[in-house]
Amino acid sequence: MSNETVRTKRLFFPFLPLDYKAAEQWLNQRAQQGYELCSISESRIAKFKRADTPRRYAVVLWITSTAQSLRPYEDVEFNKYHEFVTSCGWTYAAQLGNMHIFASPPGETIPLESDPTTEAARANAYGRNRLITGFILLGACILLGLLLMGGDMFSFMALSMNYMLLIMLLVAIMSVILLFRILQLALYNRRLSKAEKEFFWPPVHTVRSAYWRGAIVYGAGVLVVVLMFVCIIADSIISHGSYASVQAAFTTLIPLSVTFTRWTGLFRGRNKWMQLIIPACIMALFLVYALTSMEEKPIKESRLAGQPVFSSATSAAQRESQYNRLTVQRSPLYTYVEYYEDLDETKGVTYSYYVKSCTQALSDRVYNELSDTFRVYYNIEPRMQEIIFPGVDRVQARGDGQGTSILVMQKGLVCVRMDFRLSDVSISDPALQQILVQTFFS
Amino acid sequence: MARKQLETLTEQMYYLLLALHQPVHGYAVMQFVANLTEGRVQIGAGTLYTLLSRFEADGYITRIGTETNAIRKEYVLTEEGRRLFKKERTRLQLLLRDSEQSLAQENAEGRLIP
Repeated sequence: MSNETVRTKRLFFPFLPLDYKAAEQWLNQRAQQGYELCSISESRIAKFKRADTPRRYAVVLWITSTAQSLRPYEDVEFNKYHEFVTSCGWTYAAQLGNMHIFASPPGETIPLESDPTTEAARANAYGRNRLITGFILLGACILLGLLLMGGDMFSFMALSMNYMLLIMLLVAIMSVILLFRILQLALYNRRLSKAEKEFFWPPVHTVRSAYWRGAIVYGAGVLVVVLMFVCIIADSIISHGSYASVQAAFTTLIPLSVTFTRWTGLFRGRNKWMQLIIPACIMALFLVYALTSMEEKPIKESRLAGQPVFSSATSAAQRESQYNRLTVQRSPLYTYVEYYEDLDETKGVTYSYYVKSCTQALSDRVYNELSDTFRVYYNIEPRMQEIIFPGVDRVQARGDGQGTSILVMQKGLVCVRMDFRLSDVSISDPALQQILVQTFFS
Repeated sequence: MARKQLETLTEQMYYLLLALHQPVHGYAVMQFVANLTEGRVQIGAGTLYTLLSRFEADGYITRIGTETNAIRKEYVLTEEGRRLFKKERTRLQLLLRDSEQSLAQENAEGRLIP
């Protein structure tokens, strides 16, 4: 089929906002070939149709304030601009993020923006805005990373067993992307000011280089999102129990629904805010589900339920050696039992149990049961109780010959902590082991 | 925060202020400038809106009448706008005068290559 007979065609439109001038040139090249832009979807597919009289396209970079970005049609300034230029015969062809595409009346020769000074001011404002936003996001990422890394009793093993690793990886990836973006924006701003000084405006990259840069950035973004989904779903598949699967499914559904509604252009137009409704509903459902079904369910669903953890052949063999270690890894994320014992008590003793998330009620139960245990077996009172988070992922008991600590942790942060001053609490006491196992795995 | 005062005007700004010596609406400004310059200077719709908004916010022009249609709203120069235009016009006249004098002198001395 020859090009002459093609009535409509769809092309990939990968241009970044910074390359809006190149995007404008690209659209005008299509117009010269006799194609008129119909729409651009969030998936960046531009739809064209044949037109006899070529139009002229203008891409306007318009910053909508954060408060208004959720309701772009309430941007008063943009509405005024829109009203004015459409009164002059231009039509609003499409929007992609901050890029607003206008089409001239057929045969129009005057560009939409004819004064480089005013256009440069707008482009500069965009560059500054994005740069500041980039720095703020990078700062937030670094802060979050530091907070995560500074969690009490944090170890690499704990990381690898936890969502934290995934979150930290994402934070690291986001930081790298933001750094790249900030560098790109800084170079862009430099290019803008240089172009203004040298009276060379607009500072356009070639259409081809802008096209490929956009395509690479877009592809990298898609890859990161896909990897994130794969990680979450893989975790769900590897993990045992329906609870984890449902949780992961919900977690995945939220960003998926956002992506779906945006990509398909569902609710586009004046009801664009409706795009938020589906993710919000799913989020609400998830919260309701989480709040109503978490009560003690994780413990009951544990595959270790009812199983004597320390009776495995491996542990029995190892416990006879002087330097013992028992690690049970039922799931990379949800069940992890670490038993380490140094019989000459020079290096201390560590027990770690990973269980699934639980509620405030369960963490209270943990505290009460352990307290009772120590009262009954050792006749001592714990001297401190510290509750920070209402969930529990891990229980750790540590003894160093001087005292004993029981730590109930969530995502690396201490949820319940009890310290016992007396060294006569032996962490290797089978009775204590039994109590811990009964508390968490039965 | 106060806006940065205009130091020099661009060609489009200058012609816009020139057009607004009389009450006139946006669409007429575009036609006026295109006719006056025989098409050499043409103000795009987006630029016209931006300039009108900026000049109005800076107090160089003011809106008159109650017309609600964006393109039919009429504007006219304020006193401050007139001063700005006059200052720019004087600057351009001085530029022209200086260059004319310099070129005439060099031409008389035979230093200027035609």
